Amino acid sequence: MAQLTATSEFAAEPRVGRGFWSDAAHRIGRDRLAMACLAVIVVYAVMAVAAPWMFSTWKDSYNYDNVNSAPSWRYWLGTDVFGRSILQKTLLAASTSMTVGFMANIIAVPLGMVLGAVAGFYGRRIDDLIVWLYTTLASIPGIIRLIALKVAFAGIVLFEGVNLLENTPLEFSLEIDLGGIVGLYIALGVMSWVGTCRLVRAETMKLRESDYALAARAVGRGDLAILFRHIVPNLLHLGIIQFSLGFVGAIQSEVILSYLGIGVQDRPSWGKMIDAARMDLVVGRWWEITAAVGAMFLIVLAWNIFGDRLRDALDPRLKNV
Amino acid sequence: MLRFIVRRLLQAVFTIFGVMLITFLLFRVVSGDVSANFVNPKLGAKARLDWLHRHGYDLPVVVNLHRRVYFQDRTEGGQPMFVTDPKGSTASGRLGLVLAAEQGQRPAEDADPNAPERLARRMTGHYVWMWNAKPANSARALVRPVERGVAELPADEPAFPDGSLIEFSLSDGSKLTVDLSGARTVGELLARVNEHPENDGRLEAGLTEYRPVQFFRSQFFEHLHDSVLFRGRSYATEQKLTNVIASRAKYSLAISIPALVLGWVSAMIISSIVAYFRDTWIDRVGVLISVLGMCVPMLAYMVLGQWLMAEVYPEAAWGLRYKTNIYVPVLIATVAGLGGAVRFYRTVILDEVSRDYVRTARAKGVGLRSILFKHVLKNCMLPILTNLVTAIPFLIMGSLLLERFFGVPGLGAFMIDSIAIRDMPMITGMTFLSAVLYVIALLMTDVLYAVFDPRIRLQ
Repeated sequence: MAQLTATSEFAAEPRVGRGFWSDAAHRIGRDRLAMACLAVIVVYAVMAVAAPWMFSTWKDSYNYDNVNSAPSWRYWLGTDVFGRSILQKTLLAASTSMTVGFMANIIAVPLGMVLGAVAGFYGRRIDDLIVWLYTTLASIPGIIRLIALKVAFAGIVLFEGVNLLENTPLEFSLEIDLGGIVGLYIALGVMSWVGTCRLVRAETMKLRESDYALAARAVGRGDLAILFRHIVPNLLHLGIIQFSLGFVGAIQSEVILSYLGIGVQDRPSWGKMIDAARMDLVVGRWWEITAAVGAMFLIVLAWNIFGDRLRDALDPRLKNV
Repeated sequence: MLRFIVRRLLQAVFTIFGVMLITFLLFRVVSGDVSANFVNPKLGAKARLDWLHRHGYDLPVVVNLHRRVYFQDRTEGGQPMFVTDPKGSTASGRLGLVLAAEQGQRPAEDADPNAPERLARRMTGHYVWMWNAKPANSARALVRPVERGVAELPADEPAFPDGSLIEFSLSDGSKLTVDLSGARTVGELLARVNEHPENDGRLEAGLTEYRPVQFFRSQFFEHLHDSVLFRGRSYATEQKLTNVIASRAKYSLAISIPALVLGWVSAMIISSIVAYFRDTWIDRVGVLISVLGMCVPMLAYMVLGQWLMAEVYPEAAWGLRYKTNIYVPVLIATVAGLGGAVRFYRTVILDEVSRDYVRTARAKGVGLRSILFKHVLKNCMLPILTNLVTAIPFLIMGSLLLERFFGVPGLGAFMIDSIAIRDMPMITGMTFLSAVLYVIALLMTDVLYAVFDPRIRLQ
């Protein structure tokens, strides 16, 4: 009897079965370090949205009486060569980096996923073509590849003079200056899909032979339906993993390109801050470079750890790869 | 085995072709006309067109189906022939004429000896001005050079506005003024010159003959040719690409080889130690430090390293005047790459440790140290060596950032300077060089894999 009661008690509160996503969320939710990193990322993301709006006057806030001043109560991180607040500059640069990282991956990850899925699913000529494309891209060293595209983009404006909804209050210009930040999104995006594509292609080749793909085919599903309704949804976690891992690369590339003077032009960037301040250390002005390096270090660290933990949570098989 | 190598070789050829295609698209098609960086604007539009001609920008992009209009001076004088616009006319600018026999122009290898280009070289006093025209349909529409190559004029637009006069000053000092206003087709243009009442056979206008070999005289095939033979010449200094590589590669190698060797050795040692003490505090501290080190931006290492050096030994902080100056960049390159390398090697080693044969060896009573250094390390060598071999092609380019920052006159620094002034042949050539080296290295690792690991061939 006692045994029966125990069983019924057990049955009274059945364990709710968890799906793949909630299981992964549960796993990562228990990981304190990952959550701390996520918090850092969220703070940066909020900053990315808020900073350009909060500090919209920063760019013209010249103050020649207060040039290169050390950190103080008024300027927590000191001022730059024009007397502008470095705290605000750093936050604006964080906004630049986060935007670039986000936009680059929004382009790269879906591109890599679609190309990888198509290549892995159809095989043969299409596969050969896509593999050729990414082998070619991958054989040009990373930073040179990026520089090449940025150099080629310089001075190109798409849709020049094209305005939508002309003569209405909603009129806006469709002009895209590829020499500017949009060019950077595109350059980073189209140059960094190779890893995602490789991974997704290999996984698609496995899933193509799986039982459920066969079952879908048996009930008369077409190729595209099997690919995009059955196979790709099962690979979405790879996209998320690649998105988080790709963020670090995009941030680092943006900083290097900006340092070399071919990244972002008209807004603050950590790379430009480092470039501006590289001779400052010698004369004892440490604040600008410390702010830029520190801010960058923190977000790169957070993304690195979070990306790793996310990968472990979403795809335990990939652990230690 | 042979079939595998041949197949891989074929793939490599396709990849290299792909690289040439990409460099062509990026540096020739997308980036377009870069003459503004190399021609003094005070010299005017004529000089720019000449520059474009000299560097092949007026050739057709993919294949050459063009014929050229030529104006050949038949008088026997000693002066060069030249073309001017009388006041108010823009005719010669519209034509964008170039002097075919210009100094420094690359002679066309496929040109036949009687082609106007060659004639002009051989016979003093006979000068030829050339202008690109499209082939067969030359009588249909007049074409004119625009900023990028040659484009057709819309049929309804008059090719030359009223008052388009062009004055040919011939080699014997005489002049011929031709009125081109209203001319709409190439045939009309030729007729205006040849049937000019005062011409008397002094000036001949005609179309060059189209020869099938010319098919490959296009920007694309010239690019392939130049890439394969590394024949680029700097726009800025006229230096050959091969000379630049020969004179600068040593500085890059002087930094990148020691950095690679030092980095590899120290990463191997550290990661072996960390893996040996797996799941102890040594392991945790090691991993923590390598993750932290990985996240410090390369630029920070450079700035900090230079500052430290300037404090300790100022002479060694910049340039290459002293031999000691090489230490700082080498050290920075080593340290900056250490974090990622240790993490990667540790993963590879631990992956190997979890295999069955290790458990068997332990069960047999083989000591941990012996397993780790005799069995495991030997088996990890394949991925680790791959990592190493694929790093070799990047040695020659050195590090773009380090070389620029520390004033090392290597290829990386040169690449950055070339990018800044848009010196396309140099950028193209070096991008292509590094890609080719990388493809070769990959090929080598694949073949090595196939030789040492028979399982690979089966796939």
